Amino acid sequence: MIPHDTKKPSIKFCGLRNPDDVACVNFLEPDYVGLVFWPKSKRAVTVGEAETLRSMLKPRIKTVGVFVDASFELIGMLFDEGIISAAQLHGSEDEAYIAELRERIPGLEIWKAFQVSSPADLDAANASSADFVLLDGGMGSGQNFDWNLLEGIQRPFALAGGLSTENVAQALLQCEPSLIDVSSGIEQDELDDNGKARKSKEKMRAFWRMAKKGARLAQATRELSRAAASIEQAAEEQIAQSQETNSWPCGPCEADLSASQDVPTEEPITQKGPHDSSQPATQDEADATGATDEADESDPRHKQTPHAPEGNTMNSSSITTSRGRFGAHGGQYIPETLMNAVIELEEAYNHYKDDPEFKAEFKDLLDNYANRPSLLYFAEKITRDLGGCKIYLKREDLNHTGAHKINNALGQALLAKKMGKTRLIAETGAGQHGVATATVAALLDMECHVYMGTEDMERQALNVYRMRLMGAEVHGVDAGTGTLKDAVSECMREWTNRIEDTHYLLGSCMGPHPFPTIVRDFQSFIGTEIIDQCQEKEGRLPDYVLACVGGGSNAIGTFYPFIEHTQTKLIGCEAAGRGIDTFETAATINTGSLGIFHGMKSYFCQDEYGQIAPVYSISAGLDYPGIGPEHAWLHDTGRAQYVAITDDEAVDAFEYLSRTEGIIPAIESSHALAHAIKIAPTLPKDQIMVITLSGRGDKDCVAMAKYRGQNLSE
Amino acid sequence: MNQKLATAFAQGKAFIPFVTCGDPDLETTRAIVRSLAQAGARVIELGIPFSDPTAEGPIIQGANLRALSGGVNTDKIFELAAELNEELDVALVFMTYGNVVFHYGIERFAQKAADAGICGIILPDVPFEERGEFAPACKAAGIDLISMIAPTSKDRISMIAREAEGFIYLVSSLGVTGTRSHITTNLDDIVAQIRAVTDTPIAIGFGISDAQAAQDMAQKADGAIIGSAIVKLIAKKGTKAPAAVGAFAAECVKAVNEA
Repeated sequence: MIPHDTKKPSIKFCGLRNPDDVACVNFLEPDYVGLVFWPKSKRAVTVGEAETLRSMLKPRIKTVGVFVDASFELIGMLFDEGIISAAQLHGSEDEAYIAELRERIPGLEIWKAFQVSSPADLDAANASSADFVLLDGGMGSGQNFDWNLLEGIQRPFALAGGLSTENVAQALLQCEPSLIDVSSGIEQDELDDNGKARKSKEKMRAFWRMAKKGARLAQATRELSRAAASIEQAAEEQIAQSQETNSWPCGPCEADLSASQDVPTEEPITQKGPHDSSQPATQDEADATGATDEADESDPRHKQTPHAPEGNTMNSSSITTSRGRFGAHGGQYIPETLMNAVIELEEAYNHYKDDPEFKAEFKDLLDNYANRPSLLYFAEKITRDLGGCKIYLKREDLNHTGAHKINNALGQALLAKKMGKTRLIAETGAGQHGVATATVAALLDMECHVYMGTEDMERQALNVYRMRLMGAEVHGVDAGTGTLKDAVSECMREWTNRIEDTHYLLGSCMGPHPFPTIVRDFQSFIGTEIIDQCQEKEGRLPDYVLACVGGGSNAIGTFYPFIEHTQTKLIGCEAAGRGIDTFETAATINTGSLGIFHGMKSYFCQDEYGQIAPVYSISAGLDYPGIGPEHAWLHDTGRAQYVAITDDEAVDAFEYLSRTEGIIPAIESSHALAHAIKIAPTLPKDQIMVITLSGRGDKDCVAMAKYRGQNLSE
Repeated sequence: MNQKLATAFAQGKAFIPFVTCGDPDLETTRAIVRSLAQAGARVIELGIPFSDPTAEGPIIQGANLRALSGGVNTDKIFELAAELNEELDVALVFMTYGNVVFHYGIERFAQKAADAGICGIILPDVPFEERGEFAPACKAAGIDLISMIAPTSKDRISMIAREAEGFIYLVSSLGVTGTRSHITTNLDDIVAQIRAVTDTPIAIGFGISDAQAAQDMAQKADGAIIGSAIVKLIAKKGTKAPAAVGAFAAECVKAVNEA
C-alpha cells in the first residue's frame, strides 16, 4: 500500500549498503529501505549485494529500488526475485516509460521523484500517473529545497532531500508528508576507503527517534490548532444560538468546553507529554542537542486528551472528550448499555485507589494470601550456559494460583465488593485468570462465572477442573474460534444482561477505559518490586526487562514502573505461532494494524475490511488478536520493543529452563525466555536482564508432551 | 438531519426491519429488501456483517458468520445498497461495528455510503463519548449518525438525546439483540426524558419478536425495529425467505400503523 497517512508518516532509510547496518535497521524498523541501483551513486549496490541485504532485512520492512533511467529488465528481475517491491525513478522517465513499466511488471509500486525548484515542478508531480511521488531537492545531493513551494502539492508525497535529525521535526510540521526519506542525514561525515557513503548507526537511531517524535508533535500541534478553531466557532454558534432561543439553557458548547479542559487530576503532570506541543521547538532543540532523556515522551500519564475534531467545519457536537487514551489508543468503544457501568467503575477506582483502608486490605491479601513480594531469582546456570549478560527471573509463578493473574483478580474483586457487587464474571484463555477469579470469589464469598472458549477448555482441562472445584461455573464459548477473543466477546454480552450486581473482572490490560489503567496499576507491583530487588542485589537497575505479551498484563505490570527509567530497555514478546509470515500467528504488533475492537482502539490482526482475523498460538494465554492500548502506545513511541516468538522457539525455551534450572515455566512466559535465549549470549557479562516468569508450566505439560508426539492423557 | 429519513418518519409510525447483508447471499438480501419495501417499510436497516459482533445475540451472530463465510464484504454491500436505493423508495440505514467503518477509513466510508444513498448509520459500539471521531465525516456526507439510548442510560439520556440526529435508537431492555417474550423496562419514562429535550423521532429495538410487540412499542414511540425475528426467519427459509419475510413485514406494518 502506498504511504498516505500524514498523521503517522512512514520512514524510509535510503541507500543502505552495508550488511553490518542491517541489525540496527531491523531494530528500528523503518517502513522502507531504499537500495540504489544507479551505478554512479556513492550508495550503489550490486544485485547480489541487494539480494543479501533483502534476505537479512525483516520481512515487514519493504525495499524500494532507486533507479535512474534503468532498463525494464533490471527492474523486472529485481521485482520477480522479491528483492524490491517498489521502484523509485530518478531519471528522465516520462509517462510513457511509467505506462510501459506498469504493463510489464504488474504489482510493482511505481514511485517517481521530482526535483522541486519552482511551482511548475509540482504541477508535474500532481499530474504524474506514478503510484506515489517523491519530492526532492536534488539527485540525492543532500540539498533541501524551499518547503514553501509545497503548498501546491495535491497528493500524498514523500519528502526527501537534506533531511536530518536537526530538521525532520520542522519538516513534518511544515510539509505534512506521508513519507520521509533520509539518506545523507543518517550517514557518517567521511566516505569509506572506496569512496562510498557509510551509514551511521547513531544517526539512524537519532533520526528515527526524532522523526517519530516530530510526527507526534506535528500532529498534536495541528490537532490543537484545529480544536482551538473549532472551540472558537462553537462558542460563536452558542452565542448566536442563545440570542435566537434559550431552549438549551446548558447547551452542549458549554458542557463540552468544560470537558475538553478537564485535566486529569489523579496524578500531577510534571513533564510535557506527547500532546503538549505548546513549545515544540524547545523540545526539538533539547533532543537535537543530544539530550537522551525521553521521559517526557514516555510518560503515559496523559490519559484524558481532548479529542480533536478532524476539521473545523463541524459544529460543537464533535468536541466531546474521549476518555482513557494512550496516544491514539484506548477509549471506550462499547454499547451504551455498559457506559454507566464503566463510569461507575472509574469513579469507584479513583476513590478507592487512594483510600488507606482499601490499600491496607489489598496489601494484606497480596502479602499474606498471594505470597508477595515474589522472588527475584538469579538464574546462575542459564546465565553461565548462555555466556552473556546476567539473567534474573521475576518469579510470578510462585504466587498463589501459579501466575501473576492473582494480583489483578484480588484488586478488582476487592473493588467490586466495595462497590456492592456480589457476582463476578470473567473471561479466560489459558485458564490462569479464570482460576485466579474463581479463587478470589471463593475467598471473598462472591458468585463466579467464567467464560472460556471450548477449544481452550480442551487445551486446559486441568484449569477447568480447578475453577469448578472452587465453586465457579465455567461456561464454554463455541462462537468464532472458541478461544480467548470469543470468551471476551461473550463476557461483554453477558455483562449487558446483568450489570446491577455484577462486575466484569477483566483479566488483561485491555478493553474499554478504565480497565487498561486498573489492570496495569494492580499488576505494577511486579515492576516496582523488580526495581527494589535489583537495586538491592546489584545496586542498579537492569539493562533489559523482558515479558511475554498477549493482551499484555504481566508485561505492562513489569514495564510501567520502568517507563521513566529510559536506560532500561523494555522488550515484549508476542506469540508468532507458526511464524509471522503465516496466517497461523497471534503477533499483533508485528502483523496487525490499527483498529477498534473489544472496547478499545489498538492494534489488531484483521483483514482488509476490518474483520478480526482468527489467530493462532500454542499458548492459549497469548492466542488473542489484539494488544492492550498502552502497549500499542509504547510501541508507537518506541519506548518498548515488541518481538515475535514462534511456537517452536517457545517450546524449546520451556524445555530448556525446565532441565537447566529445574523451573517449569508457563508456555506463555516461555516466549519471553525464548527471546532471552536469543539475545543474552550477545550481551556483555556486566549487563543485567530480568525476565518476568509470569506463570508456572504445570498446566502446559500435557500439551507440550503432545507437541513432542507423546500422549499423556489417560 | 438527513431529509429522506426525516420524511420517512414524518409519514407516520415506522416499522423498521433489519437484515444482515449477504445472509445467506446478496441476491437473497436484495429480494428480501424488495419484499420489505413492498410490504410498506419506509426505513430499512442493512447490517454490514462483522466477525465479532459483541452487541448481538446468537441469532444475528449466526447471520454475520453466514454472510462473511459467503464472501460478502463492505464494497459489495455498497454496490447492493446503491442499486436498492435506485430501485426503491425507502430510507436505507447501515448498522455495523466501529471497526468496519474505521478500518475502511471513516471519511471514505461515509462518502461511499452517501453515494449509495444511505441515510443513516448505527454503530452499537460507538457511544456518545466516541462520537466525535465519526460524526464530522457523517455530517459532511449528509448521513445521520444514529444515537442509542439504553435502559441503563439514566443521567445520560438528555445529553445523548440533545445531539441525536435522524432518529434515536432506544434499546428496549438489557442484554444483546434477540427475541424476548416480554419487555419490562419502563420505556415511557425514558421516552418522556428524551421528549423533554428533543423532537427527534424515537424507534424502539431489541427483543421485539412479533407484530403485537411491535405495535406495543410503536404506541410508546415513533417506530419499532425488528431484527432477530426476521433474521431467524431467513435462517430457516434460506433463499426462499423473501416471501415469508414479506408476509411477516406486512403484518408488522399493519400493526404499527394501527398503533
